This record gives sequence, C-alpha cells and structure tokens, in this order.
Amino acid sequence: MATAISRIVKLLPTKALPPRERLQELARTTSRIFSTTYNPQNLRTGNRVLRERLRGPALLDYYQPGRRVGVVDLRRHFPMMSFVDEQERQRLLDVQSKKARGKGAPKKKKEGNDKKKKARIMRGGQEGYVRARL
Amino acid sequence: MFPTLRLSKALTLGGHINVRVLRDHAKREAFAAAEQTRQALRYIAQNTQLPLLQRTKAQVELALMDSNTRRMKIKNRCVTTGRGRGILRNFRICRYQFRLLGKAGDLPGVKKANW
Repeated sequence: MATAISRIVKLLPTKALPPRERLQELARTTSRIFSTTYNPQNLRTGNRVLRERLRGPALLDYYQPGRRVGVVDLRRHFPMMSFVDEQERQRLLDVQSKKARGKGAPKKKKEGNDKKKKARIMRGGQEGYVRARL
Repeated sequence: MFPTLRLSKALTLGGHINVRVLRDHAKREAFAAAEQTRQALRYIAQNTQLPLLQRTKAQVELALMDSNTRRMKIKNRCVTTGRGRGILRNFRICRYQFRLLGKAGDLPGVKKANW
C-alpha cells in the first residue's frame, strides 16, 4: 500500500496531497482495474508460495537432461488406460516368427526324478550337488 | 538404515551409475511427485488469513511427510563419476573430471588459463 501511494503521489501534478482516504481508494481502484492484489496492511497471505515455480521437473533432469516420458511412465501414471509399446510389440512379433521358422529359444530341460536329486543334494554338500547336476 | 525408496522402472540415466546416484535420483523423483502437495500445505501454513487450527494442521502434515520428499535431501552429484563433493554446478561434474575434460577440450568455452 505504501508503495502504491508513493507511486501515485509521484504522478500527481501538484505538491498538495489529497486526503489519505482518497489515495487509498485510488490505490484500490487501480488494483481492481489492473487485477493486482490490494493488501494495505501487508498481511502474509502465502501468495509467495503460490508464485514460486515448480522445481521438480528441472531437478529430475539432472542426471540425464531431456529424458522424455516413455510408455512405462504413461502406464505408471495412468493405470486405467492402455498404451501400445511399439518396440515390445515388434519384439514379440519377431519371437513368434522365429518360432514359426523353428529358430526359437530351446525348450527347458525336463528334469526326471526330482525327489531323488533333491535328497542327494541335501546329503552331500557341494560335491553332491555337482554330481546331481551331471 | 536407509528407508526404502521406490525407483521408477523406466530408469535410463546417462553417465556413471552407482547406488548413491540411484538413491539421489530416487529422491528427486520423490520430491517431484510430492512437490505440489508440499506447496499447497505450505500455502495453508503460511497464510495468516486462515484459522490457526487449519494452519497448524497443515504444518503438522508437512512435518509428517516422507523426509525424502524434501528439497534439501537432494544432492548434486558428479554425472560422470558419481562423486558427491567438489561439484561444479554449471557443468554437473566434479573438479577432477572438469580438469580432465576441460584439458581435452570437451567442455565448450573452457580453456586452461596461462599467463
């Protein structure tokens, strides 16, 4: 308020001051017209906090600047929606086509007599384990 | 000893990665995620127009928030080595890396002084 009044006073053509109420009214009207805050008592309204910019994005950019949002991020933040991961889709397609041509990954080895092997492992330490593997 | 932090799975950080860098990045993520809540609570707590009870509640809630969501928990680390001390903020690397890279001419505008 004080600053507003002093600014107005500077703009006045004469040195004779109008009454204080008039000046206050003028300041209020000014702030209404230009949509600025009118706070004559300089109260702490916490607007300072609202005026601060968010620092999170800039701080996140520290280790790799320009890290863009990926599909995984989207899925994490919007679990209710579905997103297509083009790379993953292509990978799965490749695997399928390889399988069709008989060039897929080998099948896992079937282990017979699981119980016996486990028992042997339990009895003998590392040696037994190696024998069981062989 | 250290509280568990949730790291995003899509973590692709450039440069050197060690546990401390990961930890710091996790703190950055935690801070970014909680920043808006934090600012809202701060606004309520600092607004003298609001009733005292509400302001105190906001303050308590702020104090009870995870400490890893605080700005001050974040520490700038060297991007190329992960070192925590002697970091040149503008280049995001530690002083020794600055010397090496600067001498090699990898830092634009950096030249060894000679007089």
